[in-house]
Amino acid sequence: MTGMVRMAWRNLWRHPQRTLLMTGIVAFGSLVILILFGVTDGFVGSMTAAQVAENQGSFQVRTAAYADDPVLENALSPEQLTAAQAALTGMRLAGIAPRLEVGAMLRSAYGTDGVALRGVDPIAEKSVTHPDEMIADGRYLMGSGEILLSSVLAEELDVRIGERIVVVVGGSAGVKSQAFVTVGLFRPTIVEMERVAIAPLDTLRKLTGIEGATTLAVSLPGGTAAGRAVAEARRLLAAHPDIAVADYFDLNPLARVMISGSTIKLIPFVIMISLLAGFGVANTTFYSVLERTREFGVMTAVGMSRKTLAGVVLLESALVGAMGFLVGGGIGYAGLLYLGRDGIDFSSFVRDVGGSLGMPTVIYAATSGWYWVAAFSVVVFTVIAAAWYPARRANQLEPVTAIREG
Amino acid sequence: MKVALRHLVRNRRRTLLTLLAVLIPVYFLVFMFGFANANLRDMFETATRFDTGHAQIRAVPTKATGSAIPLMRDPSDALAALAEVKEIEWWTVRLDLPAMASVGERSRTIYVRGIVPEEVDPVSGLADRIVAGESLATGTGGVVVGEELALLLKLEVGDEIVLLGAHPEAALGAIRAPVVGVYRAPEAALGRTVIYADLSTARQLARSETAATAIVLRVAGVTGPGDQTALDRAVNDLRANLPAGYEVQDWLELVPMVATYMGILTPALLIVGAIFFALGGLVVLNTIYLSVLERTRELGLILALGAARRRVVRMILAEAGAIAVAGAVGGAVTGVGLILVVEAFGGIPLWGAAAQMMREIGMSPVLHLSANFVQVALSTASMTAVAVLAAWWPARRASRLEPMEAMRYVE
Amino acid sequence: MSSSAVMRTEKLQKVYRTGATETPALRGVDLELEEREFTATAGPSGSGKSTLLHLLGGLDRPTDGEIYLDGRAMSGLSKDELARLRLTRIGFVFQAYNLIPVLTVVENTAFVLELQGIPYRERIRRARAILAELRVDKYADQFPNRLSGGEQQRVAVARAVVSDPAIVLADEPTANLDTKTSLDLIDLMRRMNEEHETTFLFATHDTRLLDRVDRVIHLEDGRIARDERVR
Repeated sequence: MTGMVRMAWRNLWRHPQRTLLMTGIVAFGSLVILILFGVTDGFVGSMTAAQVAENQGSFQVRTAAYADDPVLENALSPEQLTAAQAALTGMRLAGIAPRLEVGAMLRSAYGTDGVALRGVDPIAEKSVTHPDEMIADGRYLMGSGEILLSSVLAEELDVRIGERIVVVVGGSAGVKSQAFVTVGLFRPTIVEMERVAIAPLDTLRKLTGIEGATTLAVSLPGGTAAGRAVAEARRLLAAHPDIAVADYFDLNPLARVMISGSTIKLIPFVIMISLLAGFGVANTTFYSVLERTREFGVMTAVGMSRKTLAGVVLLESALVGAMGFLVGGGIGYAGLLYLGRDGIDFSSFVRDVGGSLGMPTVIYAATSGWYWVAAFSVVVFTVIAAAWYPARRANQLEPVTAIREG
Repeated sequence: MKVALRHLVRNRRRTLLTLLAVLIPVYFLVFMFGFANANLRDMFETATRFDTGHAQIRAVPTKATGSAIPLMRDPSDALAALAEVKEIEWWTVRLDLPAMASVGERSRTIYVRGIVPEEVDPVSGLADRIVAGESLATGTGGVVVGEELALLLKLEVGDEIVLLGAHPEAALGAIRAPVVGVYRAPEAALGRTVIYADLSTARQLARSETAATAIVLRVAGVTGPGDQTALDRAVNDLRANLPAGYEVQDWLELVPMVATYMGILTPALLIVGAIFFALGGLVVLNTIYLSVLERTRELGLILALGAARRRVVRMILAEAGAIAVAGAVGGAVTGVGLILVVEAFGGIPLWGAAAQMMREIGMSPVLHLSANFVQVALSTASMTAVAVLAAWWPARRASRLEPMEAMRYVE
Repeated sequence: MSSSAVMRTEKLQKVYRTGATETPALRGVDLELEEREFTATAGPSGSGKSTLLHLLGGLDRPTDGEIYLDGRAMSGLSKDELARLRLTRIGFVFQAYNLIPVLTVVENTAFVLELQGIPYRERIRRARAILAELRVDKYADQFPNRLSGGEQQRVAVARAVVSDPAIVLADEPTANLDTKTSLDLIDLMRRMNEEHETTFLFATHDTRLLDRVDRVIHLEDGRIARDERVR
């Protein structure tokens, strides 16, 4: 075997220019495929991570009815809330926080905006979505009757820190309004959060007349597999059929389509690139086999099996594939590392198109993951497929004809 | 040149692979551009017919109004100015008010869009989008809600809805109105937030007989996103005619998403195109290089007989050029062909969650394709140029051979 | 006498270098070839025959010395000018790989005329005429790989003389041919020499061919050992 590798390797370097050219084609193809995979994977990862960290938490506990009909009357009752919290005490959690979420209208002296008003337990929420860390101006919630606005909302409504703003909500006792004091402005990275205002849970409970919470947002310690945790939470809550656990995909029903969609969209690209790179490898390998017809004839005449010859030809291409992947992968890794560190700023695009889909404004490319394996498999497959026909030709050589033809 | 063509025929397999290497990028790009064109056209149609018109006259905001559009107390002077701009073929007055809609215990913040149904219907096709109940008619006082909102508020045709007007520049009006119909919006967000009412009903909510937020208009001869110059001209004429206090915004300003999309699409396609062209070019370079290598002795002979080096370069370039032209034209033809076939079958329908997502971002759930002659021609021409350019290095190499050494060359 | 010399060399030297070793191939050759002469240069392999022909044909440059074609020195010419000279004034017949495989016999013959820019009809007419003289006109529209070695070399001779060059240089044209075919080829070259009044110089190590020429230049170790007039 090592003898075959040595032979294949030396054959390649008999014509360095030719081999380098072929390697360059494979490297370029590998690079493009890796960057495509990396950016797509990073896009999906950034999207998920930002949603979890800033908006939703790892998973949420709600009533079974709330998923289909998210209104206040489907909120968790105080008893359900206590039961759910008690059931989950057995799990290792980073944070657990009740929320009361309701559509509201904000009125300033100048303007009106529809928002998602989020009533939070100021202390508990800090360990779930860390709104205190997003404060760009002013301070975090400290007492009742206070409100945090996204900086976008504040600008639209022309509200400054310390100014009052009227919140109008519809609750069980009809439409009600109350003035809140703006104490802080936060700057989120996901556009969806720009339409969110955050107020203390107890103030909102009084305003709406709802005693429980619409959701219980839960965050997991770093490194915990979300899927397994959700399964465990479901098991722990199995005794309460009226309470449901919503994972990332339940909370973002379109995310699955977006993820599979963005992966599926890559397939034609990958196929086209493999085809093109494969043509380059096939042309060169075929040429090198034809050129060596006489040499191969001599080798079979002295007793080398034709299978071995075909193997050497395949091995030559495989080596080129490996070298190309190494070079392309090296450059690709550096590129993805760079994109992963600084991110690609999509904010202007996302603000308009993707806001409703929960896309983050900055996308960090991922530098590790399944796609390295995928890209390598594509390269190996392409290169072997491209060398197949030439190798077969080597396998079918008749020594006498080969020597005469050469 | 004869020699070049005969070489291509002699090495059929290689020529074919190389031809494909040129064909595929062009084919792919034509197809991608086809998608993008149809996408933009779709966005243009949806936005300009249903939502924004080609352009709108609005009041210049004097202070922040949140997400509410500044109010025009009485737009009659703007309407008079508008009538003098002959390119404008259609217009209608609209009143958009932020409001709180409540049904029983449920409430949502929404916009009430007051329209003149007889003027709007022929353009927007709102009447055709009614999925339950009936469409809006002037003077009946009813409202039409989107499917999504009906679901959220548990509304059915015949229910009463309480609307609380909340325009920061208008008086706070409140009305009770019967829901006469449910419509299906082209974009889910519109269906969740826009309630249609007769203009006079909306004006009750603002407690004004003449208030409006926009004059929506369409310009003659503007049929797609490519007619921006005609639109700009009309908008400029209009601006010159309008009294102070008014501004004109075209659809791209009103739906910045499309502008952003257009801005991102072209560079994205160009990057993809460049990648494919580069790869195609590399394959051509590789092939021509091999072809030169294989013919070393023959090229040596030609040079020994006294052929000028220029001539050898030309011969090799002719070979690459033949492959390039055939491949690129082939790619363009198959690409356009595929587009025509797909369109003959009425586009590619999406289903399930993918269709829902398209609706969420306001696009048609049927994917369409549309070929643009200039793009096809440019793709074809640039791929040809790249391929011929790629052959330059091997061609020069061939022309620099030493004739005697080349003739002695043993493969 | 020197006025009728087509080609003349002065102290022609050629040294090949491979790394540090120097191999002298020609060590000072003085030679005159006259118009209409049919000359052979003979000698064992390595005696410098091919080198001499390559230098005379402008395919390679001498290390020292000078070559005059039509009385003009060749050393001052650029590569492109040399190519031009080969195209118009010199005809070549090589040992092998003489013909372009993708061109038919008549196209191969007309190739030099094509390079000279002679119009299609004219060059094809001239090529066919020469092919007829060399009795290979029946293969005119076939590709070279259908022809025997002797026939291929005849086409090569046709191509060498079709443009009426000052001199035809043939480097071991019979190397791959059997005796009878070799003699036929030399006879045909001789006929071309007489009918077209073209000067011929060919290299050979086959002594049987030497009684058919006007003059034999014997080369040994890069020097002229003997220069004898046979006729």
